[in-house]
Amino acid sequence: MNAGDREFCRRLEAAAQAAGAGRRAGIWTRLMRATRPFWVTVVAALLVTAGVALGDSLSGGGKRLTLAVLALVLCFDVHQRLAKTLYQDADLLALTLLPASREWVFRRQLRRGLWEMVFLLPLGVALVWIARLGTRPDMVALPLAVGGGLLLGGCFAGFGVLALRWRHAATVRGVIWMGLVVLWLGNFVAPDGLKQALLEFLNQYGDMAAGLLPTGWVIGPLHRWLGGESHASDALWLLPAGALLTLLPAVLRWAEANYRFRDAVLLDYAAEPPADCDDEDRAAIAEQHTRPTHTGLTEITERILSREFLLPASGPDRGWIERLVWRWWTPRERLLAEWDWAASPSWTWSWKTGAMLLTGGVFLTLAGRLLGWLWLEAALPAGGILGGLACLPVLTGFAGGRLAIPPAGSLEFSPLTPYPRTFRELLFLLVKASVVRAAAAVPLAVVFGALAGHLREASWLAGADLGLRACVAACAVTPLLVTARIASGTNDTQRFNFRTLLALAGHIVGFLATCGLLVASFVVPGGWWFLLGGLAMSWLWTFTYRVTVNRCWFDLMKRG
Amino acid sequence: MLVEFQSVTKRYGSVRALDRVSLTLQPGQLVAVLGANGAGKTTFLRLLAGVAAPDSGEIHFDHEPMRREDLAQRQRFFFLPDFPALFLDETVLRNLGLILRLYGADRPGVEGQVVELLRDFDLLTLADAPVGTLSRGQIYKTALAALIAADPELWLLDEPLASGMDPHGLTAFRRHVRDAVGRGRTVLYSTQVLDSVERFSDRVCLLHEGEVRAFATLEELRQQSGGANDVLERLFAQLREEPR
Repeated sequence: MNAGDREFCRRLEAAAQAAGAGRRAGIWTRLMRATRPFWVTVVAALLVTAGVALGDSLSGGGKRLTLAVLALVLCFDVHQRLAKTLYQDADLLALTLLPASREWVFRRQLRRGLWEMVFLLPLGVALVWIARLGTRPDMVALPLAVGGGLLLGGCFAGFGVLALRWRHAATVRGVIWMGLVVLWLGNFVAPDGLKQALLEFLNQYGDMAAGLLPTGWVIGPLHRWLGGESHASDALWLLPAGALLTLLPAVLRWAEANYRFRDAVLLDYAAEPPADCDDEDRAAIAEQHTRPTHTGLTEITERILSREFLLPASGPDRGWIERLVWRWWTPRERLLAEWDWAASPSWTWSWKTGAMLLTGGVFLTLAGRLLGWLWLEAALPAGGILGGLACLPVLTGFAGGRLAIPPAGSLEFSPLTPYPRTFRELLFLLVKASVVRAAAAVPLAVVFGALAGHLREASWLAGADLGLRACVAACAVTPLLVTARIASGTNDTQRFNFRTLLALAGHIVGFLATCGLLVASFVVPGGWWFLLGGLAMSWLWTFTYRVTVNRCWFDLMKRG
Repeated sequence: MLVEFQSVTKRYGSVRALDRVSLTLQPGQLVAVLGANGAGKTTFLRLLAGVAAPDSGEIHFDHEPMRREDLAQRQRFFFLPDFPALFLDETVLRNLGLILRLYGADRPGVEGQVVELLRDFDLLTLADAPVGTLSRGQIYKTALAALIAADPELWLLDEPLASGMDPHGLTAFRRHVRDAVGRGRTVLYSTQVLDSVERFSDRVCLLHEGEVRAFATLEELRQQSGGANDVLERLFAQLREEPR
């Protein structure tokens, strides 16, 4: 950047301040904006580490998994904050009024977003300190914590930025939060039998599950090293983490190339390029004003008169699951689906991916047994978890869609506003899709469950039953996910009064009760009754929430 | 559509945006909602649209309480915010088609009306352009064309006169609104442009710090102030002088 460019940028920033983009909020608002992810993480830490990691209930693997999940929550919070700063920041409105290029706005917002990640460094230190306390507290802990914390903070920030490229990030974040809640419930609320079963599961499979999480690749070796249990091969875990972080420049280049905000408004204001505008900006403005968007008037008029623009979509052109769902939807639901899904969903592709992962898990386990490589046994739970996530409707129900109405000024409208559509319509639209997807996953889940049961020396039948329950549980979660999606686009979780507090309490109770029942259905005898209870609880809470939406208990908008 | 506000209060944190507002809007009226910045104009419109929720009080449409899950009721009004919510990646025509179908307004003959509206708002040549490539005024005109073609019973417009529309667009907007009011539609719009209000409203709703200070025709307001022509300027000046 030469001196002229620097001066131009400085003047732009000054103008942004003057236009209100950099206006000063109250100190409390600024503090909360800057520290929100910190507080979210602190709450998570209180939920989990206080209950599990610092307790005596878990051995090394369970602790490492808990810390890895906690760190993953942190990464997704970083991602969410950065995405908000880049795409939904209130400053963007003012920046549209300035003759700033898209790239300049992207870099400015990115700088701001990255600056807000500084909180990760003390948090990383705290995580290492916790890990150290759990093993052997001594004076060495502090410098170790500082060094390790810087490493961890940097890695987590990097993972958070990488998630910008991942369209399922927001949904995965919700799933990880559910995992945290389940851990907390298992430790504090669950009956002894369930608690014992959960802790045994975590201790037995903790390291394996942590190995599936990018944060586990960093936390695992570090934790073992701090506890004096490390092995030279632990360093190998750092390789995939390093490899992942080398993608950072490519992800940032992609984000910059695809950056969209209301630049068209800016160019309208800047029809006459400012005197100090450089050649590149002049060319961009000229190109914008001469873009060939005009088609022949007669042709357009004829096309409009043919009512082509009012015709409903003809349905998905690929994917048998998509076609089945489309057939089940009513014409009104199909219209809403057109509204909600910019591109055709890829459920069949997800189903195929899930099938491949499940099959791969079984074959690798069998191959491991034949060859005597017992470490390949890990492929069975890994294939089960990843395959299940891919083909069951727990991740991709919303991702890839455009349920949120584009920000209007500094407001973000919920999917229910400002156009006429109801919560009930949206709920049934997504529940129908989930039911078809879950039904399509039944054969896969049952066959995999039966084979896994046999390989694990349990009964075929018990494994198949477990697979079937997973499909029903995925359906039971859908109404909760829809409710959470609507609630996250409203002020009810941000501006509290009696009604919103009541709604929030209802969210928590309904959510925890459903999760508790669903988890219990997998680990205690008589699981199907718990599963049906979870299904009923999920619908009961969703119905109650719908009543509060209907009666206007809270806003259906969120300030950006 | 008869619209009733019954002692509606709305707070944002410690700020009382609307304070026990009660009024009745008769069908076929053009109402200008006036007020200084922060007076509660936008909140007033958002409450009517169901986007914001009252902390207390009730809103009724034709004596029926507002219900967000009542699709038929929701299709009877259209809220146009100052920055319209449209899909920026989609074309003008695709946005219009989706909105009209959501309102169930894809009736026979609407296509001819759409052509006329796009022509009126100088958007016909841009029908295939993605909304994201348009200027703010053109985006507002696109949403306005959707509203006019959907033709609901209650039109709620936030700051249409400061929406970036060119004079030609504003003229077309006024003409369409007058036609709609003639058909019995109720139109509410917020503004701070006093000159326009005098020529373009049947009633004025003057808000100040969340309270309705006046809800009357301009003629009634003039009579109350002794026949002064610049009655709106005087009212504004009085409100500014009030101790806070």
